Amino acid sequence: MSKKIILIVDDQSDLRRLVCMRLEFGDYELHESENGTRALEITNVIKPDQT
Amino acid sequence: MLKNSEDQLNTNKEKDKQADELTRATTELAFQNKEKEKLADKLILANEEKEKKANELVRANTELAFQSNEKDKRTDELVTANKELALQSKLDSYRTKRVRVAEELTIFIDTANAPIFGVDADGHVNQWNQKSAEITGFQPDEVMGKNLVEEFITAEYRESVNDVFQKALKGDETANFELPIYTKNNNLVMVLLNATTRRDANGDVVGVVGVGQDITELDSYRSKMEAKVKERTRELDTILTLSPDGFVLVNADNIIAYINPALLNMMGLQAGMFIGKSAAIFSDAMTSLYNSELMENTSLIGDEDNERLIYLSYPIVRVLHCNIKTMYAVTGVKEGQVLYFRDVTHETEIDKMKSEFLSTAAHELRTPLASIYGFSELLMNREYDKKMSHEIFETIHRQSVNLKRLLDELLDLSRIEARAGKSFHMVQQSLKELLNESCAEAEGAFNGRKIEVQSSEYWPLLSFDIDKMRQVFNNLFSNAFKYSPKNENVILKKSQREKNGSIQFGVSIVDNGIGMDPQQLLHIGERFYRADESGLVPGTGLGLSLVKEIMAIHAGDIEFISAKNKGMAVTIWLPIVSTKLSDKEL
Repeated sequence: MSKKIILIVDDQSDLRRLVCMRLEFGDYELHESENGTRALEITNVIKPDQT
Repeated sequence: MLKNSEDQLNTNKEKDKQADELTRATTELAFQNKEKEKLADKLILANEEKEKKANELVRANTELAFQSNEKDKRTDELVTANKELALQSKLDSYRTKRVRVAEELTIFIDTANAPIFGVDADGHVNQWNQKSAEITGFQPDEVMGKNLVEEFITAEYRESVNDVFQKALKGDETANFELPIYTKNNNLVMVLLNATTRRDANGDVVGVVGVGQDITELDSYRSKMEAKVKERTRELDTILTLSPDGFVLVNADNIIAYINPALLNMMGLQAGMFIGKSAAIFSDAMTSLYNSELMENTSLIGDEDNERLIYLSYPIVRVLHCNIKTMYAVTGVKEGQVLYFRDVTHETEIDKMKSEFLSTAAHELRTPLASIYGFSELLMNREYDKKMSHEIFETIHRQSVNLKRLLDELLDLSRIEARAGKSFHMVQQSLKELLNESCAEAEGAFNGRKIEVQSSEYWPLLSFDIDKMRQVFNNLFSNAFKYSPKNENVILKKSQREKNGSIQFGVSIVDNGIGMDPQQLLHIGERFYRADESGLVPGTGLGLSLVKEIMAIHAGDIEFISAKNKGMAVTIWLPIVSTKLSDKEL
């Protein structure tokens, strides 16, 4: 079973980083986006399990 | 036979004796008869006497009756005489009374606390009481026999007074006629007059009596009251005209009596459409302006007093607070209604802004706090290498600084707003010194980046609070540096302009950074508004709000010229006190 893909969207880079660091220990494939438009573009490519 | 003879003799003797006796008896009888006759005669005589006496009695009785009749007659006469006598005395007392009444009347008229005067059929004064003399200053001997109308009445009233007298002379009396009379020293007194017809004993009209009442004081009081009412009306008119609130007055017949300019302005309509028309027309006009999404088309004018909010879409979006109150007369009768409208659009907006501000502020405060909270929690629960933990500490510190700045600026803003400039210490000097310091500070803070000053050494005298203006420049310089490329400088320009009759000194700070599009420019200066949403550039979104507030208190202006990715030019304008430098700086 492949890694779960998670997309993290927030306009604050510090908060994105915080979430990333929290989730690093889990076995996830993490992606970030700073705004909604970019998030939708990424979603189409990576098909995250959780946003 | 002897014996018989003797007997016979005896018998004869006896017979003779008897005869004698009979004769004697007869004689006796005759005598007795005679006596009887004599007695009868006597009786007849007595009877005759009696009759005579009876006749005399009848005569006496008749006489007596006659006499008593006569007595009655006398008594009647006496009664009549008495009656006449009583009448006579009554008449006498009546006459005395009348004389007394007449005397009393004369005294009464003369001393009455009201002017009473009389004129004869030709209009000449024939009575003039003390009060008339007192009021007018003319003594009776000065007016008696003179023509009242011609000599004592003001010209414009002569005709009407004459009318009243002529009418009274025809028996047609006038009550409560206001009559101005000239006094001896040419003052005008106002007399309220009742003109009464005067008749002689035969009922023929001989003149007119005027009974008056000095209403000069009353009249002047009335004039004063009228003037007061007029003044009050004018005051109220002025107030209602100037009032920014709307008023409509509806009278008891539901007709619009007044509508003030403020309300017409709110409705974008003309007074002529409503004055004198039915209240329903006004109500319909108002409902046609309603925001149909927020309002039902209910009539404004009902029987009951009420208060409500009215949301209008036309002519512009407005919120009106409407208060309807019924006016009652002292008697409790409904006199009409007052409709009062207050434009609460601004208050409603402020209310909305306040709650928006609170939720934005809470959100903005939560963002740095979330980082601080989250990262410190990570540090507590996990082991990181030195480099990593240093990075985390740095983040926590940076976000703490952010939080502190946010709170500082919020406090600054609220302080400035609450005191509306009262805590400002205004000094008169030029901006030269302050700008030099601010430039150096900003250049230092942004690692050797430069501020290029692009204008002459022109420094007019201005009035400002040094610390507050330092805050303005710090904010503007740091914005210019933060939102422009790291290798580029910021340009400083000075200028001068005239606005609304005052000369202003301008300082422009121009960068070549990300700029703002027109949509973003609309929001510039709003609390927490940031054109850059990336979060890469530190900031609170409060800096320009603060700058705007400070400039407003300095009676200055702030202008932004920008386009997306074409940089930003911010110019602040301060009124020039004098084009000369202050003594200190010369």
